[in-house]
Amino acid sequence: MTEQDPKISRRYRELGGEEPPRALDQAILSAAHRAVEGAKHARAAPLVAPGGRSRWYFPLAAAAVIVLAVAVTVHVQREQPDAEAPGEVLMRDRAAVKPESAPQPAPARKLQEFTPDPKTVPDSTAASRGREIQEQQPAASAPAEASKAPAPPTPATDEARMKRDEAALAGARDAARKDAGRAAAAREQAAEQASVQAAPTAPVAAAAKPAPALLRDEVARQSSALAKFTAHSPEQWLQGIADLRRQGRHGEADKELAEFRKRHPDYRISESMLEKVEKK
Amino acid sequence: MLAYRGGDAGAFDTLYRRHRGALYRFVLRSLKHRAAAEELFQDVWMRVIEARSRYAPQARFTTWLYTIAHNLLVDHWRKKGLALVSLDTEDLPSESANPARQAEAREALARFMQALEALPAAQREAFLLHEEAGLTAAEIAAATGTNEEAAKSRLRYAMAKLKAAVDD
Repeated sequence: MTEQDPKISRRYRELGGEEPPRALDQAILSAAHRAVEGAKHARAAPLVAPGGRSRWYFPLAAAAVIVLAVAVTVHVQREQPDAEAPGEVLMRDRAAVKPESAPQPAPARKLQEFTPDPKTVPDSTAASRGREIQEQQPAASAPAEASKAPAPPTPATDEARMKRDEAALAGARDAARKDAGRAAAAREQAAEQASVQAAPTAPVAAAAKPAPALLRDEVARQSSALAKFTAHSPEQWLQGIADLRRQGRHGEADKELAEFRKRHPDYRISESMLEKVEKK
Repeated sequence: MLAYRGGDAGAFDTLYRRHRGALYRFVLRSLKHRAAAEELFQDVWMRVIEARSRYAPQARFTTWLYTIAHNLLVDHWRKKGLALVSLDTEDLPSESANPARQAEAREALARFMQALEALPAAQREAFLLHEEAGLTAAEIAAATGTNEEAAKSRLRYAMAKLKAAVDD
């Protein structure tokens, strides 16, 4: 290699090995150590309050986090009663009913025993069969009495009560649907200023409301009814009064109706239900 | 340097001991003024300390160190109104070429020193990088921001002139 010449290198070395002053060495080395120590401290305490314009960053961030946490907590607390899904209520309801209705074949047999002649029974639906059982065993079948006096239920009365409750629920649903239909029709009527007689039927309600909204209402109504099913809902209560009325126990029915109106002063009883519960 | 970057202050001591003499002489013989050389020497190490977190071992640490030194030298020359690159041409005869120094130049060492000082800045830098830092032509090119052929050429010219001074 042409760049390499030992003679030149030797002569260059003879110039002397000058070194930097000791003070300069110390200054550089201490600066290097200080830099490393400073970096370590900065890493160890990352929440050191910054100075200058960014001094208020940490307090502001802390305040924002606290406000957010409080807002979320309040929101969650408010939403909690509605958070229970209809499916969960249904499951809970079924779980409550299941132990009572575990021996299923027995009720069927008992039903046959209590039914005098299956051929003579005009309505063969479960609800009507349940009502017949109620008539034969009034003490166990009356809903108001059943709720007041929790006697140990027999499978037959359970079945009957379940059927009656289902019928009550269906009746309540129908009534609610009719109410909704009537309201929609009234709105339509007022808007058009027409003197056409309103037809409070479900199709009208369906026409007045978009399908998703109807579906949502239906789900909400069902979930609401199911949630109150075990807690003596107004519809159930009214159905019980209607049953009392049908059985001719008008005194009890009047008393129950008065109590119902005291408890639910703002509840709108549908006309069909009103016919059943009021004294004629 | 990687150890120092990771927080090992002792690693810097080792690096500094290894390079302090050579770098100091490189700066001193490039500037010829002790005070300015000491200041620039300190600046080089401060840059090393500051840039530790950005250090990536793409080349030898020595090359990186002398690249920093070269950049600071360029800044220094620029402040003085001179350009390192333009000094590829021959320097004007320095004051050391006066009759008194010529008389002293009989001594070989003095002649060699005179020849070194008389070298164009770029050639002197190439020679000093080669002698003090032990850089190859390619590494000199990398440190000074030029191509390898130019670095080789500068080194060859510097050697030829110094050889003439030694042979005299």
